[in-house]
Amino acid sequence: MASDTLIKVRDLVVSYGDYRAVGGVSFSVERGELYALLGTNGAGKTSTLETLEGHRAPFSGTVTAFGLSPRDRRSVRPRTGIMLQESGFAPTLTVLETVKLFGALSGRGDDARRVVEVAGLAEKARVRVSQLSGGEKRKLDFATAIYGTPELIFLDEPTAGLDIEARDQLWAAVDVIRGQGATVILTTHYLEEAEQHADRIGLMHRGKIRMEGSFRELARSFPAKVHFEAAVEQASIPFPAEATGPYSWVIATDDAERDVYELQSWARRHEIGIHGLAVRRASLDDIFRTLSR
Amino acid sequence: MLTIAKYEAIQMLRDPLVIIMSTVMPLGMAGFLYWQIGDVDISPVAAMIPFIMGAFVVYGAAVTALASRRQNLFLKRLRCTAESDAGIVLGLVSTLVLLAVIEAVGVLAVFAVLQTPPANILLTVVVGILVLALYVGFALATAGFTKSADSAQVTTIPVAMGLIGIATWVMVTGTETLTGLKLALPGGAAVELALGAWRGIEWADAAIPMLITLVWTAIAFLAAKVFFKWEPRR
Repeated sequence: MASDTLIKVRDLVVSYGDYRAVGGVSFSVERGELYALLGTNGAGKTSTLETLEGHRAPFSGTVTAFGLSPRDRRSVRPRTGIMLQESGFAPTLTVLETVKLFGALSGRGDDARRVVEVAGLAEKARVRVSQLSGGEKRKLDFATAIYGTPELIFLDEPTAGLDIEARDQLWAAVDVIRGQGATVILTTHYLEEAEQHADRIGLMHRGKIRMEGSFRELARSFPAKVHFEAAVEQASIPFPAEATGPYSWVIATDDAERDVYELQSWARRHEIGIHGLAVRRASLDDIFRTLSR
Repeated sequence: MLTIAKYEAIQMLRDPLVIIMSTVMPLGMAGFLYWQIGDVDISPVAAMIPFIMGAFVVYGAAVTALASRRQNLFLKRLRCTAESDAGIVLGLVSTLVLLAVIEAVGVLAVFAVLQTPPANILLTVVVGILVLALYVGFALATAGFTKSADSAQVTTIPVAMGLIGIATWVMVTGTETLTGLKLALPGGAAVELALGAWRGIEWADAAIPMLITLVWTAIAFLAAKVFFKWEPRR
């Protein structure tokens, strides 16, 4: 089956005066994917995202969405929903009016009441934006992005400021939209969300994508950790082990299955009791910390 | 564009301060001028009406609205939609322009009934449109370097006072002396045209002031293109 690439980024450079925020980034996003762009503060992910959205022109390099320049608003925007990192709403308009306004301008058709309900704001439909909490404004932001079920949705820190229930509700809504074929590009500080929901992850650091792949692929390139308890001296353990407490040890391993087998064989040979044996794969947190060091 | 204008109108109707500033102030000033000098000759007062409406209804309110909507990222959000930049700007200012037109037409109609109607109605309409366009252009340019709604109180003073000051000076002293300077200053030729339209200027005599007014309107929009910003400075 031929690939259907919605977003193509080649050697993207974004500069603000002398400051180079993005220094040569390349990646692509296929139709139906959820691609998470993660990074440390100042890594360049918002600049990259804003260039993909068409808010910013590249200093050099090329960016296309649906094969077009993202700055071709008339062609690209009716197919694109954008949830900005910060709200920008008229405080005196109500929630329903706001969704109707941005819905009408989106170039897509939908029922504003349905969208308000999907975003979890049905009870606030007639409330003015100035009276909403920060989390409710994020929901409103989400509502304007998903109006008319666009083919491509940008979610910039979608769950920042939302409680657990609201986060689950938002992700359930994203799953429904993805089920209808939408492609999602996400940035988030909640790494577990990227782990759970992203098909592929691009890890940015200092203006470049340092690693890219599915979470499994990323995790494979980092050692797993074997945790166990045994009343032995460090020197007697047949692997370089790190003490995490009295007789609590952790071993970094590239092949957890092999090393656990060898550890258990060693324990049997020496009649040593091993307790609390657990293998923990590298989490996105671990990968992220390693990357930013 | 019409959708944005509709919701701008809704926002305006929900803000009593904006309504007072954009109706009570200009209509009060028009009434004051009429009370002071209108019973002698209505034409100078009528010539000032587009400037009063432009300054109080369009210019100040547009700069304040644009700066505040940029600061809270409303402009950026509008640019997330399929609407063109021109459509967004027109939508944002058209409500104010429409209000200014309604007020100006109403006031001039009252003047016409109380005194004499304009000798050249078409020219009166053209001058009114040009003056309001001049204020819109300057509003977009001024909004470019106005950080917030609060700072608009300061940044709008030079243009608002400048244009009204020039118009008043030209209206009071006439263009017999310092003709070149008075016509060349922004708004000078426009007030000369507005006076002429009420008193019955020939189209041929209106050509040069009209050209100068057109040039100033073009300069205002060029300044708008150069200075206007959609997002707060990073």
